[in-house]
Amino acid sequence: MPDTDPISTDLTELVQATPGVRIVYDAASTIGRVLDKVVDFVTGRESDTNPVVVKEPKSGTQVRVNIGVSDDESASDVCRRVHDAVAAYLEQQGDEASEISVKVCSIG
Amino acid sequence: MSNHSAEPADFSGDEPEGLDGHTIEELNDYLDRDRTPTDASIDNSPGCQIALGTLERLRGLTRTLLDRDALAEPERDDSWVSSILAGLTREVHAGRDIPITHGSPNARLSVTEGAVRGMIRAAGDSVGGIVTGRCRLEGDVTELGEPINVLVEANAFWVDRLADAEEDVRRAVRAELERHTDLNIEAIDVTIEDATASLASTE
Amino acid sequence: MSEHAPTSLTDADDRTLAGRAADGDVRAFEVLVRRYGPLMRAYATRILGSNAESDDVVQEAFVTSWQQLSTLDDGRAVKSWMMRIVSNKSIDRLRARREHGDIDDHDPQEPIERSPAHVAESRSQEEALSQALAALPEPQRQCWTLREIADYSYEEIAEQLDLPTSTVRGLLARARKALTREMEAWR
Repeated sequence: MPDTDPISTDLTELVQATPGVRIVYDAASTIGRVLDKVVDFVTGRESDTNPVVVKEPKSGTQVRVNIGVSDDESASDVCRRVHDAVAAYLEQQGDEASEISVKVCSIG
Repeated sequence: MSNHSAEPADFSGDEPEGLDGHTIEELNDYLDRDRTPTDASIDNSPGCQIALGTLERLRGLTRTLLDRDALAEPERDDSWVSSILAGLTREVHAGRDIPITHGSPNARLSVTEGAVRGMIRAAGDSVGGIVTGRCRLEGDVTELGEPINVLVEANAFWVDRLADAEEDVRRAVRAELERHTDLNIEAIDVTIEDATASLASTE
Repeated sequence: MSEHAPTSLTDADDRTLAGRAADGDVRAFEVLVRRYGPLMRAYATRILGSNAESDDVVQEAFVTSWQQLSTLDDGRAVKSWMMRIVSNKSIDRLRARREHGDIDDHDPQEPIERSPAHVAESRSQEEALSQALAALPEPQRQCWTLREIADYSYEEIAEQLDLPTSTVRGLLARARKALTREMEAWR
């Protein structure tokens, strides 16, 4: 199930706001429906939980993000941008990130 | 073919009479075999010829039966389509994870094969008159730098020069792949089939 | 990158649509759903003998098709491929009915006697055939439908209906006799 951790909440909002990101998919679920509605953090969502998965084992915080990007820019660039935004946020929090995974699941 | 002046086979009993010793089953098998090798006792029997005609009519009607049923179906609103689509899942077509490079050793960045195929489709669709079909990425896409062959199929509608269209598709696909991915594309194979004729037929 | 006109997708051939859908294109799959949905419903109704469960069967068939489309080598065969999934799922339902003892509700024990005059009142030959089919006892109708409409071999029918092949032949022979009797009355 998606995370309810406050870090997850912040990260979801952060990813959603990153230029080039069209949709934030649920990174924890293995079953995604093809007619996903856009997860719009600002206008509200269907569930109370956040799609960004955050785990905090002793080895360091692990973050998993699945995104859909718009066609306007390079998907690789947007992917890296999201990673960098997440990394910067965690560093700001004094968090040691051991792994940040960002997967692009749709383009355009 | 059949001798119209003869009496039709009498079906009132369990096994029809007037078939000169043959059964409906035998006649059906004869039709299945396309009447070869020819059976003189069947071909020379007026009753059999009439029964064969009946069987052929039965087959002909059968073939159109379902089509008639389908046409007779009451008009449905779109909700039956929506409910079918709502039951479909996305992950089935995600395919392999294609790595995206990043300097940090903690970064695990990727784009799914499904996303790339969708992007290739859109690239092909952007060429006038082209509807992209199946896309294949051959080679180990999960390994950075591995040479990859791309295969694209498509339909063409009202396209004068298919060879030009193929080149346009190839160019569009390559441009998109280079823009969005870190894949090492060796070759792009485009196969286009002219589907204009299908538009001419009226259902 | 422009959104290509959706009308072209509805004109695309089965192979192209199947290829796109196999790669995950929902819109292409939707075209297939609209293109063959009614036919698949008619097919399920024929095999089941009624349309009560046709919608469910066809929905299941589409879900399975979506999941397994990538296994289909020749996209041109997608129509018959999906029809085969429909018949398999319809037969699963029949088997479930049998196990629950529901057969009596659906199986007329005796074929309805039809006089030629009665048949002559039907509006057309097709109608006559349709009625004659509906009047067949369920086992005969199923064998005939699977053989003549679905193109199953005797062995495949035997396996699907869990009957000896000889029984299938016998049922088909009786069905054919009954139907040719009806068609004869229409000459």
